Amino acid sequence: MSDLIRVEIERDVADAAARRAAQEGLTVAEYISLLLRRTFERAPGEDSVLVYDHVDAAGELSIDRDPGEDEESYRRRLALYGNLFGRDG
Amino acid sequence: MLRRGDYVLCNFPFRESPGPEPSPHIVLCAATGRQGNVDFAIVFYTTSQTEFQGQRRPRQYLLVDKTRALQLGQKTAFHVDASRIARLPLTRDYFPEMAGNTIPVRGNDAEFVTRVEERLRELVAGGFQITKIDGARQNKAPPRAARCPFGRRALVNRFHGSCHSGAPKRSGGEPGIHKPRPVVMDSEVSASFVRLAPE
Repeated sequence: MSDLIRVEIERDVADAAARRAAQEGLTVAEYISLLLRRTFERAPGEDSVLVYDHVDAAGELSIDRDPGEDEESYRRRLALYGNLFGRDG
Repeated sequence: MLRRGDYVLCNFPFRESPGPEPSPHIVLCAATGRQGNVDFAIVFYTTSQTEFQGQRRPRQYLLVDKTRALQLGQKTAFHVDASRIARLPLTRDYFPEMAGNTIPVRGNDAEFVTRVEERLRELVAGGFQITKIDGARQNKAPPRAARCPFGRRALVNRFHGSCHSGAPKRSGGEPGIHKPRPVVMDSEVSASFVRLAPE
C-alpha cells in the first residue's frame, strides 16, 4: 500500500515547487511534504523558538571553546546553550 | 570535526517525529560540545523561502544573499532560521555525509553565527516562547493513553499527550475515539517550556 495520495494544486504553484525542488535536489513530492511538515510544526500565529534536543545523555553539558575566544563571549554562549539544552533548563 | 560557523548537510528533525528527517538539508553549526559520552553539534535550520507574498520578512529569519550563498555552494539565497535550533549527536544518522571523523563543510561563517545567536536572544526577550522538543525521549517513549478535554479516552501516539481542542471527531469507526491534532505536543514536554534566564 502506498503512503502517497494525489492532490490537485494550481499549475503555477506546482511549477514553482518543481523549480525549488530541483534547486534542492529533491522530488516535488519530497519538497512539498517537507515544506508542509515544517509549516505544521507551529500552530497559526504561534511565536516560538523550537528547540529540538536529540541527545540522550546525563552529566554536565560542555561547549567547545572557539580558538582565541575570550571569556566573556564563551560565558554568553555557554549560558545560552545551557539554558536551551541543559537538563535543568 | 565541526566548527562554529560551518554549513553542513544534516537530517534536521521534525517536531512530530522521532529521529532524523529523511531528506538532508543545509544547517549552520553554532557550537559543538559533549555531554556524558555523547559528542554533539548545535545547529540552526535554514530555509530557501525568501519570498513572503508582500509581507515583511519574519524576524526569526536572517538572510544569506545570493552572492554569499554561491560562495557557500548553494544555488540561491536562503535564510538561517534563528527560531529552529537543534542539538544532535554527531553521527551519520543526523549528518549523512559523515565519514569516519569528518563531515564535508560547504562553507564557514562564524561571525554570522554571532548575529543569529543575538537574534535568538532578541526573539526570546521579545516574547517568543521556548518550546523544548525532547527527541531523545520521543525515541524511547511507549504508546500511551491520555485524557482528552472532552472527557473521553483518546488514543494518542507516543509523541502527543493531549488532543485537539476543536469539535471531537470520530475515527476508524471507534465510538468516542478521536485523533490528536498533529501539532499538539506531548503534555509533559509542554510542561517543560522554559524562559531563558537573564544573563
